[in-house]
Amino acid sequence: MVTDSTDVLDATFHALSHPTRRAMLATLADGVERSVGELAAPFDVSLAASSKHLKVLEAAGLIERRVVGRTHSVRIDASPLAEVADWTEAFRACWEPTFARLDGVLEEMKRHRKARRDR
Amino acid sequence: MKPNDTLKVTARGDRELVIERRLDAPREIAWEAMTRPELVGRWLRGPGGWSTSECTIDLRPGGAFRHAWRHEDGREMAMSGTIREVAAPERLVRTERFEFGCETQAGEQLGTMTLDALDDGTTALRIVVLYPTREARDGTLASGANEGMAESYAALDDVLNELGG
Repeated sequence: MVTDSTDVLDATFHALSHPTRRAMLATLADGVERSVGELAAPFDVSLAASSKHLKVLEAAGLIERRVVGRTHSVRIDASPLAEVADWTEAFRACWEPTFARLDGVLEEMKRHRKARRDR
Repeated sequence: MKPNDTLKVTARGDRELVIERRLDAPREIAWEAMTRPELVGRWLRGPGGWSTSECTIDLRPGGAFRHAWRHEDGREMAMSGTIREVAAPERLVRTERFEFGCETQAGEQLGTMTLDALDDGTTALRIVVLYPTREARDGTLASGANEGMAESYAALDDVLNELGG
């Protein structure tokens, strides 16, 4: 169970850190619900391994599981991704302008230095 | 693409953040821009609304520095510390502590800045910040720094492209 935004980020990044899990999410990205067997079929992994991957995705809140009889079905829940995307944006907004200002100061210093040399 | 377009931030180990960026200037100029208070005060501040209210740097081992900022809505932030090592124009080590205004970064951190002169006349800036605890480091990340997990970001891009496309 994820509680605050740092935990959401940790869980999301952890879930995205494995190629099989990313591929599973990419498959589910069309929003269509699939059975666990159907989702795992294209991947060369054991049933136990695919079940583990799905548990990690589920813990990160990236998929929702529905159980009907003996069939487990999953679908994507993209809301944690939105949080990560916003957070990345927040970072850009926060730091890039600071370094852009540094670039401006450097440009000015280079011009001054050149002007002194040319005099 | 200009050489200075890429800002990279990496979480290293449990307590470190590594910030890297190319600067389109020779190292001596970059060093001045990073260490002379009248120049630092012009660029080192937060996003829209923040302005520098104080910037003093006594650039010698044992010397003190203090940066303070004020937001147009009245909020204030200040960071101060002590210079530990100065090796112009390539290395500066200092302790840093937010006096107020940044609760997520409580405690003293150690900042090490290095400037590498590159063959093409540009400079590679690298800042390593060592936080007192993992919580302080992660708090910084959550409050707007980049976890810099290249693989995860590539993965995120893939997934977002899939979702968006």
